[in-house]
Amino acid sequence: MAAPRYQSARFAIAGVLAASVIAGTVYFAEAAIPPGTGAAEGSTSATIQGTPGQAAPQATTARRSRSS
Amino acid sequence: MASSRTALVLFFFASMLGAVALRGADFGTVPWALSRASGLAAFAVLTASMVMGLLISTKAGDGILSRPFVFDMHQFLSVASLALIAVHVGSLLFDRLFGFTSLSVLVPFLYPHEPLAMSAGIIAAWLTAITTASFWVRSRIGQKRWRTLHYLTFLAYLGGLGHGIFAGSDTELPFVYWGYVFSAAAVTALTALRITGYRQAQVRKAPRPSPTPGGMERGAA
Repeated sequence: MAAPRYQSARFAIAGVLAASVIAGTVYFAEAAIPPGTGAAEGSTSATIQGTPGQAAPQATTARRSRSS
Repeated sequence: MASSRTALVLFFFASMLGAVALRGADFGTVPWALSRASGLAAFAVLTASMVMGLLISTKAGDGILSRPFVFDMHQFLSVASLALIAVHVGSLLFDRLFGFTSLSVLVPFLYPHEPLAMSAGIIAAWLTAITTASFWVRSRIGQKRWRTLHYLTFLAYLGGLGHGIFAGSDTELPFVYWGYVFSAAAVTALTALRITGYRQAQVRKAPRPSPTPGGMERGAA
């Protein structure tokens, strides 16, 4: 099977897209965690689900802002 | 060729199995963040694909980019946007807060929050899938049908734009807002060029009336 044309351009675009999605995920994941709440240790979903704690209202507000 | 197809099918089923196995796992905010990032990337790539397609039909890119390259990129970016839409939708299934189900991300009007904007996104995703798939059945369905089907891309783009603006959580971010503005401006400008170019071509094709004294009356009627 012959190699498709513009293979290098495709790889370059795919690489840029993968890097952008990873960078965007890290950016949004960090933005959803309020600093100093202890949520960075992996308890974010617990706080979102309603476990008592100071992080819960902030984290929920940050994530629920989608429709605003 | 057959082995790569088998590998793709196996990869697909392995992904499905992996997804089912990990469905109950807790990934915190990562699925929601991944969904936002991949959604924005999908829209950017869809815009790029639209621009490439319009560069072909308007011939606006002739002399700057080679036609085979633009066509190849148009097709590749369509597939890339579809892959990113799959990541955007698939990652929502792992989010614990919004309670998406497999059915509510695939069928319009099932998810109660922002039903219109959410459904616009779902319909846009299906239309993108149909138009992307049509590249591979072009010879079977014929050029005319393929072209008619390809007009669905405009609906897919509008649905994606509406979904991003009204259901997306990041429209207020400057780079997202200006991204939407830039995207809409580019696609609108090239579409306008496409329509005017098409009309000019139609006028050139139409037979000119003969310069007889009765020509005016016939033209007026």
